[in-house]
Amino acid sequence: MKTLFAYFTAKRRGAALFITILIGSLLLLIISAVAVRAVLNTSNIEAWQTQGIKARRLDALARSAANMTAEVINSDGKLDGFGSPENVKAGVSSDPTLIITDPEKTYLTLKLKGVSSCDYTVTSIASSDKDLVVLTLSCVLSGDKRSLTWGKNR
Amino acid sequence: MTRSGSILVEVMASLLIFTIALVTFAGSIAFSLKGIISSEYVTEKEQLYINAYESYMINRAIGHSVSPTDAAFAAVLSVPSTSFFKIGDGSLFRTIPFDLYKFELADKRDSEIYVIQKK
Repeated sequence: MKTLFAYFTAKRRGAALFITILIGSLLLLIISAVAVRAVLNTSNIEAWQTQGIKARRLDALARSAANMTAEVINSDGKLDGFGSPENVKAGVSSDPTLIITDPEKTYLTLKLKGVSSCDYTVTSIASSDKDLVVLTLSCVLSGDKRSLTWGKNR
Repeated sequence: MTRSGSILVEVMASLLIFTIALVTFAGSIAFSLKGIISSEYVTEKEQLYINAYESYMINRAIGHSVSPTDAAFAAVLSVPSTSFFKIGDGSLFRTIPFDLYKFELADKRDSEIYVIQKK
């Protein structure tokens, strides 16, 4: 330790330049490290946001499908077209339908259960190889107004 | 033994090493700043894109008659022959034909969001 201290404190030619270069290099190294760290953080945020879009893909299909079914029921004004009242009350469904193949195969299944166009539940299931989203849209009559409630299970 | 010119050689070698380090670090800083600015731009664009989709979905849930073509970035896609749902109990079916629409952020892979709407 003493030898090391003596090395740095010894008056030798070029020592000032050496120390200047050493300190300059250290400062640059620290600044670079900070900048690289900032880039990594922003890249992480970007990756997280892209991941959010991927997760949203199934949600979007399920939401739009459930909403479409509600639109059809709303325009029909009845549930008769979906089957006999007993069967619709117990629940009817569609076959899994292939919707998109790129970037991954995604299927949609729609289920309907209800007694009238003001009292029903639509379940929309969007599934891919890696993920599954189950979304429900419930309609109930409260007073003279219909109330729609959205729910989601993963 | 003291050789004449040895100090000059040492100083030049030191300066050479320092210059190489300086150029490397300066390059990494410039690259980092470029990355930060680019990321900020992409993040903002993605947020606007998601907002466009959310706005469309909310308007549709409320209004029932909004077309995806009203929203930015939307494109109508040709869909395969199975472009309808058959919901029913086995003997009686309600057929619901639909169109498939795609929201996509230009120059961004895996950014597609699809929605379906009654034909």
